[in-house]
Amino acid sequence: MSFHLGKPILAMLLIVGGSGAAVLLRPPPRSGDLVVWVFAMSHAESLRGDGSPNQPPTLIEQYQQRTGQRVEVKLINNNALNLRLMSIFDRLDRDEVSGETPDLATIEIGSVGRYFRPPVQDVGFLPLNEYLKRSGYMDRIVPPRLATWSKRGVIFGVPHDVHPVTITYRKDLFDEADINLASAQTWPEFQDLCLAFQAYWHERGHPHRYAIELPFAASDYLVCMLLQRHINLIDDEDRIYMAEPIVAETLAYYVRLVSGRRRIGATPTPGTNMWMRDLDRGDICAFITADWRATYLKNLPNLAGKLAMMPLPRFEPTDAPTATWGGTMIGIPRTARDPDEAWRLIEFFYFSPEGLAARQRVTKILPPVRDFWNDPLYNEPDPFYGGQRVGQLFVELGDQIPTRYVTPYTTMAIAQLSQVLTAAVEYHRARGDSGLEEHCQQLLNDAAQDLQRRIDFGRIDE
Amino acid sequence: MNRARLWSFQYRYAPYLFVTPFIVLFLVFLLYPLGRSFMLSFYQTIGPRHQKFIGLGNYWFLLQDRLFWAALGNTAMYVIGFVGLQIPAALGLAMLLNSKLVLGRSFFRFAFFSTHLVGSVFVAVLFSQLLSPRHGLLNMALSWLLQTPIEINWLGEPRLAMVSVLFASLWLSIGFGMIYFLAALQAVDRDLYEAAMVDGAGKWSQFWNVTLPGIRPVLVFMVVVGTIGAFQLFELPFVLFQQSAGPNNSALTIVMYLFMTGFQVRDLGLASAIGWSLVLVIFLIALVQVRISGVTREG
Amino acid sequence: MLGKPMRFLLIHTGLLFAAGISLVPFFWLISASLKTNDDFFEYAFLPWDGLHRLTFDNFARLFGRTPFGTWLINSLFLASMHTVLVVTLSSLGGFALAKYQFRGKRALMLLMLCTMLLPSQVLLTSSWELVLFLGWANTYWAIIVPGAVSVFGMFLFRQAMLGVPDELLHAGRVDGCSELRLWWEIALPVVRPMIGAYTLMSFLAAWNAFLWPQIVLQDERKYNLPIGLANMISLPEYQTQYGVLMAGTLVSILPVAVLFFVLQKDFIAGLTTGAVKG
Repeated sequence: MSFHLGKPILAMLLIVGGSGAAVLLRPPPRSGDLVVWVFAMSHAESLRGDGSPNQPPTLIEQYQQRTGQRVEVKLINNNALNLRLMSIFDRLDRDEVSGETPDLATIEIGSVGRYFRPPVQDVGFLPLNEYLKRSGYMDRIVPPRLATWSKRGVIFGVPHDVHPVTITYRKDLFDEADINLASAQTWPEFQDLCLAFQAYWHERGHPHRYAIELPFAASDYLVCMLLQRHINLIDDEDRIYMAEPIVAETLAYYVRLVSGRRRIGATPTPGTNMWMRDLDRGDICAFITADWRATYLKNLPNLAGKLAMMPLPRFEPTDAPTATWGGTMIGIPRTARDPDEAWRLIEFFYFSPEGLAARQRVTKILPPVRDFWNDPLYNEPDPFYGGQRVGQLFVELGDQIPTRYVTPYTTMAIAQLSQVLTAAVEYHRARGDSGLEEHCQQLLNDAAQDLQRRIDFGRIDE
Repeated sequence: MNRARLWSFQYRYAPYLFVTPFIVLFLVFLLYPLGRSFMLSFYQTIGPRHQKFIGLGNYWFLLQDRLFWAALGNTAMYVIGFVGLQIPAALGLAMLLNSKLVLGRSFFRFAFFSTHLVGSVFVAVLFSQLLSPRHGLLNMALSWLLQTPIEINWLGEPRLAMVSVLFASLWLSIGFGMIYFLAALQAVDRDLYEAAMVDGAGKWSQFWNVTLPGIRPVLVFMVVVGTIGAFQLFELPFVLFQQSAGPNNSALTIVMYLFMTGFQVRDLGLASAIGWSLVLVIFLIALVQVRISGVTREG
Repeated sequence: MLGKPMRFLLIHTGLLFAAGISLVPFFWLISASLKTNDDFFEYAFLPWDGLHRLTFDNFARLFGRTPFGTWLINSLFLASMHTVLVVTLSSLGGFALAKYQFRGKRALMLLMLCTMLLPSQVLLTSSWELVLFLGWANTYWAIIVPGAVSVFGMFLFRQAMLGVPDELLHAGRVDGCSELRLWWEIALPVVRPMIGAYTLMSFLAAWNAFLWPQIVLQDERKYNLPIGLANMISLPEYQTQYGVLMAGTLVSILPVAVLFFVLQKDFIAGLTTGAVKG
């Protein structure tokens, strides 16, 4: 009978029947007692292992043995995770929440700002101050790190990391040019050494060898420099510092690092992990590396023995010798079924020796709990870096990381800074040094004004 | 009650019953959200709990919002590039295909049309690889053609971002336009061409005086629909740049700004205002286009 | 003036060049999905001197390690369900608009015409509000039910139904047919080409739907193919497993391609009758 309506619609009816049956008869997912949402493979692997055989019991297996609670770890794309979580928080004033909601969720530093937009009592995550005080870990975590995940002193997440930043460089190439890069204490000294380095190699058949990775279209490293000088583009009270003279000064300095006669910076090859190729080939000989970035380098055995690390040079002696870049927190959404149980899992994962061991199997990034820094793992000489104790370097720097605030507008401010940087570099390429500082100040004033407008517009009367 | 009464009952009310499902859905899922989003555009919202009436506040904000104007500029440039390139190319291809000399017409037709089958999301995934600086097919082809290594960063340079989007979009759409034009060309009366040739008109004159007027309705349709569609660009750049607005926001389009405002920043009121601003822009431009084509019809 | 052989050559060169641009990415896609990761960087298309290295590994990993199979079934369901509903509703409504006079018809059609000019994105925010209110967040209802409305479809079918001969309908009534039977047995077969065309158009649109489903669906197991693939592309793990990504893209395109290849005559016929009159 259907044929009288044509083949296409017949095909449709068949497809509906088949697929509909498959969808309806699908068994509902057996979710665990505790559901954890993560967005990075390394987090997932720390919790549930990498699935290869003959591994010691994973963290969640151990947890199940101890408490009988089954933990399910879901790896979700970062954008999807935040979209879902925000729409769950949208429905908070209705008691029923359809669909799966997590008991714990990890949030990336670039995405966490939006959760801080509502007033403190309406933020979708549970305040953790009480939990931290009662368990005694409030004082054992590096304080600048707690500030990042707080709003007005209310802590909404336990930091996953510290992420101090160093410079990793091709010691072999610098040695050959008879330059001791690590001796540079200030950025101007660093720039001079790099210029000498480039001059050496340009004469010897490497005309496109640059000293360090410093892109002109992305402001991440400029933000690092500003953090060293203890400047956040927006602070915890939503005050904007973007148009401060010191920012303009730093910006102009950065511009001269990537453009003009005294240029030492280059943009790396685009693509995931292509920057390692640049380091391997000596096209770019130094990189600004947080501890998470440095671990990727181990994938290139070629580089073994050729690298060394140094802290960041500074501008003034009062600057920090490092910054912090990237970061993750773990928080308990208000919709969690049993917040106390969720907190116990956080304690097991972050504050127990088993948790430390599981994390160390996957990555050597510094944990946020200072006592754990005594672990021998962070004190070993690393043959990859020619025997240097890079773990120790990170530990020293971990104590000195500047405080970084995150607000709903921080990501936007950083994006605006990128555009300002690109515009400033274009100006410098066209007009050179004259008037650069004034132009930078002008651009920053415009950007700050725009940002202020947005903050004023989006302000909720609390 | 007998069959006759039943029959006449259903005869009278059948049309109402037939359109009722549509009307119900139309009211609930089209008209109501339409009205509601118009209302929302006058409120400031942060999540479902905070809704404050601010009158024209959202629109006033947008008028001074550099992101909004950047998005509008990006979108407008894209629209001009898209319509300006798609229409002539599709028409040109259709004219080639319409020639009596062509062999394997249905092969070509399927070849050109097949690109339309790939949705914008999948095109974005595909082109994210094709436009890759190192191993991407486009750079490889250019390197081979120009005999020198080409590593243009199509997706990383702020100035090239929208060009890449345009390129992918044209690949997707030209074949589709060609089908329409082909059908329109085939409907043009052959006799008119013969009459023109008898009058001594050359190829170009024939095109201008016979072809164009003959396909005019389809041409206007394609331009207007193409413009409206192009203003709604979102999925292609969004997926191409991995759910972001491209390097330095260079690929930010109006609908992308709407989405980000409504579902990332979570200000539904401002997002609604952006939506209605788009409606205004599209309406004005469609009006202008129809006027222009109407005027020439009289002339 | 150019001679005939010259014109022949030029026309075919142009067409072949254009066809090349259209088709080459597909060849690239197929080869990319069959290559190993190393070969991916080495060879533009196929590793000619190492054809034995071609493998279905990527597909195995695609279906084994990601919920791709689930997404495929979800897409099949959502697209076909949407199509059946929208064709039914539109043909029913179009029939009424074409063959009956009833009160409010003019007003309705005018209202429908006005809404056709609107970009659908203006509805996003309030539709999400509505979906939250109905408790349909994260369900397929939120996608299927609003999707069954299509003003465009109604107009298309109205246009097609105008071509149904009134005598046939009259004869049917004389025989005692109910109006519904008239629609099903007499009107629909006449507009068969339009059914074919619109079926394929709707399926294609629903298959590729991304924006609204992404806003609504939150469980990974409920995703359709566009959402699944778009998320995969930004997971760092898959950014370097190009083969798996390309295999996923290929499988996503295949069902629609097959459908169209088999049914293309119906489609083109329905489309062109609509377009030329349009």
